[in-house]
Amino acid sequence: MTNEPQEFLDQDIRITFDESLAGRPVEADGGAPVPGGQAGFRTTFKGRLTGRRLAQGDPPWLWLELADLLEAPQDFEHAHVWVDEAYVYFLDEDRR
Amino acid sequence: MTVDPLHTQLCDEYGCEVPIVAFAHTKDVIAAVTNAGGIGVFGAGSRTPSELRSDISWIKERVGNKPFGVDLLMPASLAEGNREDLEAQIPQEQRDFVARLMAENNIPKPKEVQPPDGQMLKHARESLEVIFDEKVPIFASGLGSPAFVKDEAHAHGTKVWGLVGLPRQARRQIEAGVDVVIAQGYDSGGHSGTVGTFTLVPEVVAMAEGTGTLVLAAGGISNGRQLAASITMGAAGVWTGTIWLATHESATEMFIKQRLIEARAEDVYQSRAMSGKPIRQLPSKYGDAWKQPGAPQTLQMPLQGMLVSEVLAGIKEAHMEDWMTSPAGQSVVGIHEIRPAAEVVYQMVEEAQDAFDRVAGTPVA
Repeated sequence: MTNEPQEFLDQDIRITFDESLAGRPVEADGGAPVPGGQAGFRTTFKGRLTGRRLAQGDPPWLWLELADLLEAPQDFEHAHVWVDEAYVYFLDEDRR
Repeated sequence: MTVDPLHTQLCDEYGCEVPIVAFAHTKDVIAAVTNAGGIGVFGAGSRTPSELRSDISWIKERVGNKPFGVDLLMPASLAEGNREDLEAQIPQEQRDFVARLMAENNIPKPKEVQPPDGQMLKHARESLEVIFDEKVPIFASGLGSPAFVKDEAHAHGTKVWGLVGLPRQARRQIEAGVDVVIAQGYDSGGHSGTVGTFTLVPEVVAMAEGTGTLVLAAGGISNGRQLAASITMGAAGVWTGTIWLATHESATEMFIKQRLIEARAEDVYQSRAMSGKPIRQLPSKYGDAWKQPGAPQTLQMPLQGMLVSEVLAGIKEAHMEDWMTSPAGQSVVGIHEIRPAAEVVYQMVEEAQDAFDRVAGTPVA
């Protein structure tokens, strides 16, 4: 059982665990809209997958949880980040 | 038989007369560009689903069956965090700086500060439902990948476009079968990528060859020579943004339009002062204040946004023109006057035709 973050409540979210992903090193292209504005920002993360996968809505919008962010951008303070699976690049197989 | 290089595959597939796509936050610009033969794409990032539905109806009434689109800033990453814990991480030095900035410059406390969106996924999904329900011809994702909704969009008759800043993002979108990839270079406004337009576009075009995905060039494009160059590089057209801010139809404030006319390419800078992440924008007293000697470092995302939300809201509410800004790209260099959007379209076409004619008339050595 995982503790769901408050901001994920009421968003039709399912979180599962995929052991085959846990510990794999990845890079991921992230970003989000800037709150209250019309601009967004882009950022890149590097770390290891925890194995947790989040699916929101139908068709499912898939996200992977990234931790061990020691190689993450210097300006990021969180211990974990969810990244869109579409922009996750496996460093152990997929460096293109 | 003569071939019109400006009649690209984008024109064949979408029914536009010229391969010019205009991104704008004002629906009047969208209608004007679409009716002038291009494709207007409405930036609906800050609109609620009900506002968006009304905007779409308004545009449809004016453009009929001509092609237009809606762009959403789909998130690509989500950070968890307790707001109180994060607030505690904001250093006193930065708090004091912002307090001093407000006091010394008579920036009032705002009546209302917009809280951060804690339900980003849900809200994005609701907006998508409106786009599909209204059968908007094009859905463009201005940030994250739109691949997960491609099939649903196609089932509603909506084409899916994705804006990318890196070749690897383009590869993922092409592999997913996205209809159009917008390759956006470093020169662009807002959340620009790190690769230059002239480097990124040909690489993405090569990736897309034979796949059925079309490529649009973006970033720094404001005239017909750049349109011709983009088509020569293999793009099916151009995606433009900044150039429309100074059109008659744009709701951009008049003083911002004037600053767009006056700005040089090197004037628009990437500042972290608003969110903690670089956003290319027009210079302002607010952005400049963070660059002055003695100013503290900007904070990381999301702390900077939390720190400055009050001062930014105060500036906006008090309408302090010198302190306000707008995302803008280096294509400001192509803005010389306030003109009707249709005229901008026609001039770009004319310039591109001249450029092609000039090259065609050049004898080969």
